[in-house]
Amino acid sequence: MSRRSSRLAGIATLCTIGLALTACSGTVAPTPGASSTSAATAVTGGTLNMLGTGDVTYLDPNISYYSIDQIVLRMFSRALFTNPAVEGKTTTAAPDLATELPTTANGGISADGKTYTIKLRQGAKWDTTPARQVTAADVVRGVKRTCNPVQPFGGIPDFQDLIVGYASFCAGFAKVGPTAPEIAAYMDKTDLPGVVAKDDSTVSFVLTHPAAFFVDMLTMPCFSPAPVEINKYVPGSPDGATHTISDGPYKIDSYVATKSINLSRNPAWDAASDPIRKAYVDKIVINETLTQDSVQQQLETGTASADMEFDSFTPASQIPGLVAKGDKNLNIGPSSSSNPYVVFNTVSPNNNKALANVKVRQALSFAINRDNLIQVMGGPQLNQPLSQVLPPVIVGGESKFDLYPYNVAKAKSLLTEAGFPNGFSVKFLYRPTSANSLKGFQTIQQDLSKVGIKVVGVPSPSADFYSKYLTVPSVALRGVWDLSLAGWGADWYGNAALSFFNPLFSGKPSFPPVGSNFGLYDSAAANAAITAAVNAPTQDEAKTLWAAADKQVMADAPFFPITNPQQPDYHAAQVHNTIYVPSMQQFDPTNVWIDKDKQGG
Amino acid sequence: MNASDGPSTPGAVVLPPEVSTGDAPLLRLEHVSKAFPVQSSKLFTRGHEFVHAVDDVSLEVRPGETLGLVGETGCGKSTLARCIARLYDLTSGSINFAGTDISHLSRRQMRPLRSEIQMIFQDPYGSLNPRRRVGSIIGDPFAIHGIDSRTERKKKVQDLMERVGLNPEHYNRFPADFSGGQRQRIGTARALALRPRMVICDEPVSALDVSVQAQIINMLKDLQDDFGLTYIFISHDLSVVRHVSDRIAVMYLGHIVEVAPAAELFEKARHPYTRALLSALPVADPDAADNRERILLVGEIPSPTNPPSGCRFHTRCPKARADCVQTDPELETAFDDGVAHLTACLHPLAIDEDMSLSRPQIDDSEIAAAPDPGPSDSTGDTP
Amino acid sequence: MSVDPTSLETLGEAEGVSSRGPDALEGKAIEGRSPWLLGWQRLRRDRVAMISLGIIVLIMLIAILAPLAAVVTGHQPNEQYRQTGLSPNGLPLGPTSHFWFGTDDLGRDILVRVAFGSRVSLLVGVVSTGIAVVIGVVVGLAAGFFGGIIDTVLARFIDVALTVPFLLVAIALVSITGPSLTITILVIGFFSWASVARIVRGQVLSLREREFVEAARSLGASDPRIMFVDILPNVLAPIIVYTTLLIPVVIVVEATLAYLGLGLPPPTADWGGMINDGQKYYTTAWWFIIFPGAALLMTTLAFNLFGDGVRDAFDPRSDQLLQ
Repeated sequence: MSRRSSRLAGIATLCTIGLALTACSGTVAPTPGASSTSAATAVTGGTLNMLGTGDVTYLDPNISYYSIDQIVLRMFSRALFTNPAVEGKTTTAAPDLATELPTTANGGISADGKTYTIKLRQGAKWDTTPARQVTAADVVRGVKRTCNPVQPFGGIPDFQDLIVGYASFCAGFAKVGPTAPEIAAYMDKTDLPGVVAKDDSTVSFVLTHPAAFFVDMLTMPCFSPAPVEINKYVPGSPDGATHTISDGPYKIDSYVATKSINLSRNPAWDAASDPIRKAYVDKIVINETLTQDSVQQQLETGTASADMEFDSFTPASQIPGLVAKGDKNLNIGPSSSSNPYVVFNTVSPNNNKALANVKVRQALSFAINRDNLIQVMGGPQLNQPLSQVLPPVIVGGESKFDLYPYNVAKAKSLLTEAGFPNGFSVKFLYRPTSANSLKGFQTIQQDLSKVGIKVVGVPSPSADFYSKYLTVPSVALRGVWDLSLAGWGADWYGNAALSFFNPLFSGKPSFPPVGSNFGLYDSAAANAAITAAVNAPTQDEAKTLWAAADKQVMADAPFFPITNPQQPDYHAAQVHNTIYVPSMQQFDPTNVWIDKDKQGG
Repeated sequence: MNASDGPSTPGAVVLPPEVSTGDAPLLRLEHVSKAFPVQSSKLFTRGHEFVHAVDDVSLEVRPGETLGLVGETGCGKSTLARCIARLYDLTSGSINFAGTDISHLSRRQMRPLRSEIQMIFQDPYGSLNPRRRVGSIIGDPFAIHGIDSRTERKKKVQDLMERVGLNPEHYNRFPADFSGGQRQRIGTARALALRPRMVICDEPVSALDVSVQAQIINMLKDLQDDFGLTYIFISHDLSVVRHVSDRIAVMYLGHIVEVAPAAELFEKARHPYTRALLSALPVADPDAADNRERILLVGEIPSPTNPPSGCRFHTRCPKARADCVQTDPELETAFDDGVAHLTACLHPLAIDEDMSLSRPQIDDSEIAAAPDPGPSDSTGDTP
Repeated sequence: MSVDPTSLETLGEAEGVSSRGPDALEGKAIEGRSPWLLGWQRLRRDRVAMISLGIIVLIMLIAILAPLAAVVTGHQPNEQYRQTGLSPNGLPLGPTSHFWFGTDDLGRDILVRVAFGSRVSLLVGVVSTGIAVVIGVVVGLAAGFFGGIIDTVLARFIDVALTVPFLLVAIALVSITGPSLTITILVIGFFSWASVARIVRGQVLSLREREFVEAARSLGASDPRIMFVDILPNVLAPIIVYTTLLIPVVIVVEATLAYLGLGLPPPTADWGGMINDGQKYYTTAWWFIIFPGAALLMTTLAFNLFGDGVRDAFDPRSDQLLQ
C-alpha cells in the first residue's frame, strides 16, 4: 500500500516496500532453537551494534507509523502501554508510563465503558535541565500532535471516530499554517474533549462507544507524551529529528539521516520507574548503510562490532540452511499480517460481471492451491497457511477454519452452476519487480488453468501499483484487473481485529482511497457483523463476534487469504535475552545483554 | 611524335568536310562561367568567397569533330566538361546543344538529353562502381532509361563489350578483375550504350600506362568513325590531344586563351602560354630537342579564388607588359591568322619570335598590386 | 581523328599483353569473384570466426528446436514441477538426471527454459537490429547523399539520438506501455539506429564524390537509384560488420531490460529475466543463474567474435569507424 494513503497499516506498508520473501510475518511460530534467553547471568555494559539497510521514517512517536521506527522509539520514548519483551506476552498490553492496566474493577474504565482514566508513573522524567517529570499535559500534547497539518500520523482512521471530539479537533487543525508557532498555538488554544489532563499525573480518554480493544490500541506509540520543547519544531522536520528529548533509558546523541543513529544512556532515566526496559547495554550504535547479505554475514562471524539487525532480516534463501543446522541465533517470529492475499475485483465488468457472483469467487477460492503458493514463497516455515481474515495472533483469529480447501472438482461444478462451464479469462494485476507478486501470479496462473480459467498478466510498476491501480475505484470499475495480490497487517496487537475488518471489508467506508477494500466488496451481512463486534463491551465477547464476522466475510469470498508470514530475525551469538516483539518485528534492543568479552566496538 | 609528324597543310587537312562547309555547331557555349563557393573555416563567412573555375568561356563544337581541351591541372577544364554535361549548374552563360538551350533545364528535362551527351571519366578505378558487375555497369544506361528487357539488354551489353574490345564472356566480372585499360574500355562502352552524339572524354588516358594510352586512343578513334561521334577531348597532355583533335582549345585559369586547328596550333602558337606548353613537350629526336627553345614558366598557377587582373597569365608571362595588368584580352585573330585561329593576347607571338629571349617588363610590385598599372620601365631589365 | 598507326603499333602490343596477363585468371573464371566471395574466403580461414559461427548456428538450432527439448525432457517451459523440482521451502533443486540444468524458484526446468529463452534473445536481437539498421541506413544515406540542410538537420538528429541515455528512456517507455515483445523490439530498434546512421553518413559523404556517382548522374540516374544502386552496395560492408556487432549489444540490452523486470511478461522464459530471478539465489542455487548467464554470455561472445571476423574479412577499414 502506498505511503501516502493514511488509512493503511504500518506493518503492511512495510511489507510492500520490502523486496524479499517475508518482509512481514505472522502467527505463533515454532521458533527453531528458542531464542537464547537469560540462561546465563545478565551483564550490563557494552555497545550494541545494530546493522541495517535503511533509515527510520521519523524519530517522533506521535508521527512514526512503521515497525522499524518503533525499534528506536523503544529506546528513547516511553508509551502509556506497550508490548513487553516477556515470553508469551509479547502481543499483550502492559503498562509502561501508566501505573496499571485500566479495568472496570480498578476504576480505570467507567461503567459505560466509554471513559478510560490512566495514572502516570512518578519518576519518569524528560532529559531536560533540570530533569522534569512526564505529565498528563504531555500526553494530551502528544495525542493532539498526531493530526498536525504538516505530517499527520498514518493510522488516524483507526481512532478518529472513536475518541470524542478528535475528528473536529483535527478538522480545525488542518486549516492551521505549517509553522511551528502556529501549530503550537492551535494546540494550546484548542481543547480535545476526548483526551483530558485531570491533573498532572492523570489523563482520561473519552470514547464515542465502548471499545474493548482500546487499551491494546494505546500500545501504538502515537499516544506517547510529547515534551513542551517539541513545539519549537515543525512536526516531522529534520530539525525536530535532531532535537529529540528522551524519557527512555537512552538519549539520541547523533542522528545522520540514512547513515547512522547513536544513542547513550539517559541520565534522567530511573530504572525503578520503568518495568519494560532493563537497558543492559550502555550504548547503541545503528549503522544504516549495509546490505541484507552483508548484515547476515557479519552477524554470523560473531565479531564484537555486529550484534543485531536493523531494518534488515535473514535472507530467505539462507533460512532453510540455518534451520537445518539448528542455528540458535535465528528466530522465526509471528506477525499480525495477512500478506500476500488474492483480492477479487467484485465489481469487474469483465465476463459478464462474473466476479460479482459469489459462486465464481468461491470456485476461484477452491481452485487456488494455497500449499503451492506457500511452497514457492518459501515454505510453511516462513509462511503459516492462513485461510481466514484474522491471523491467530489477533483476538478472534485463534480458531482456524478453511471454507475452501483445494478442490478442482468442486471449483468446476461451481463454475458450471454459475454459468461458466468452460471457464473464462481473467486479468491479474501484479508487480514484476516483487518476487512474491511474480511467483504468486505465475503459480495462480497455472492453478487456475486446471479449471479452464485463463490468467492474463497485467504488469504494473511498483510505484503505480497502489497509486494508479488498486486505490483508484474507477480502475476497478473499468475492469482493468480482476485479480491481484495485496497485503495487510494490523496496526497494533491483541484485540486488533478492527484494524483488519474496518479498512478491508466494511463496505463503502472502506472503499479506496480512504480504505483498502480494493475489490469494492460491500455486503450488508458482513457490515452488520462487523458493527456488532466493534461494539462488544468485553474482550471475550469481542473474540466471539470477530470470529463470527470472519466467517461471514469468508463465506462471501471477497478475497483469498494465503499466509500469515513469519518474520525471520538473526542476531550474533554474543547477544542474549533476545525476545522477539512482533510490533517491532525484532528482538527488543532495550532488554538484550552482551557477553562480557564481546562488548567492545 | 613531334610537330613535323602532323599534317603539313595548316588549317585545312584536319577539318572534316562538313566542318569546313560551316554546318551549324552541335554545341555552342556562350560566356559560360562557373564559380564554387569556398568552404571557409570560419563558421559564418561561408559562401562569401568563390573559386572562379570557369570564367566567361565561349566555344563551338561542330558535329563530327574532335575538340581538344588542354591546360594545366586546375585550369578549369574538367569543370567546363561537367558544365557541358550538366553535372554542374552554370553560374552564368548559356549552353546550346543541337539547337536547344540546355543551360537551364531541370534534371527531369535533362534526362532525354542524357543519351545525347555522355562522358568518359579520367579515373578508370573511381568511375566504375567496385561493387557491381561489369554487365550491369554497362547496362546501367538501358536500365536508367528503361530501354529493353533484361535479356535484350544482356545481348546489347555483350555487343558493346565486343565493340570496345572486351571479352563478352567477362560480363559477370567485377571491375577489380580488369586492368586499367580494360576498365577504360568498360567506361567507354557505358558511355556509348545510348548512342550519344557527343562524348566528353575527361582525361580518358592520363591515368593509364603510356603503353595502354595508344590502344584506348585508337579505339576512341575507331568508335568515332563507326558511330559518327563528336568528341570533346580533355587532357593536360598536348601530345595526346594533338593525336586526336581536329581543333584544340587551350585553357588557363578558367579562360580559353587560344583556340586553333590542331596542326596550326602546333605550327603557329600565338599565345605565350601555348608556346610554353608546346616547348615542354618531349621530343623523340635528340637533335631537335637540343635545338628547341625551352620556356620555363616561373611561379605557381595563381589561385582561381582571386585571379590576377587583366590578362590572367601576366604573372607568369615572359612577354608581360604594363597593359597586360589592366586589360583582359579578348579572343581574336592575330596577325594574318584565319578565323579558326583565335588568341586572347595583347602581345601575340609572331611565328619566328623566340620567346625565351623575352623578359617581363613590369615590376614585381605591379604584379602584386595588380589593378594599378603604375609607372612601367619600358626598357626593362632585359639582360 | 589523326592517329599515326605505326607509332602506336608497339604500344598496342603492350596493352595486349597486359590484358592477357593478370586477368586471364587460371581456370578461366568467367564468373567474377565478387568482393563478397573474396570476403567469405577470407572469413573461412578465420578459425575463431568460424567457431563462433558454429555456435551461432547451434544457438539458432536450439531456438528452432526448443520444443524438442521439452519433448526430450518431458518438461514444458512454463510448467511448475513442485513435487519433483522444488524443495518444500520453495528452493530450486540442483542438476539431476531428471533436471539436467536444475530447476528455478518455481520448480521449472532450467534447461527447457534456457532453450526457449534463446528464441526471445535471437528474435529481439535480429528484429531490433534489423529495424535499427533500416532506419540508420535510410537516415545515414539521406544525410550523406543530399547534404546541405537535410544533412545538417539529420546529423543533429543523429547526435541527439546518440546522446539520449538509452537505457533510462527505454526503461521509462516500457514502464509506461507495459512490457511486451513488440514494445521491447520497437524500443530497442528505435534507439539503436543512430550509430548505424552515423557510420553510413560518413561513408556516403565520401562516396558521393566518387566518379562512378558522377557517371551515374551523367547517365541520368535518379537520386534514389544512385543512393540504392550505386552507393548502398559500397556501404554494405560496414553495415554488415556493424550489424553483426549490434546484434549482441541488442541481446544484452534486452536481457538488461528483462533483468530490470521490464522484459517479456512472465511466465515467458527469457534469459535476462531468469538471471534476475536467479541472482537472489546465487549463494544457494548457482545453477539458477549460471545456465542462463552462460547462454547469454556464449551468444553475445559468439556474435562479437564473429562480428570481429566479418570486419577483418570484409571491411578492415571500418575498424576505425567503429571507434
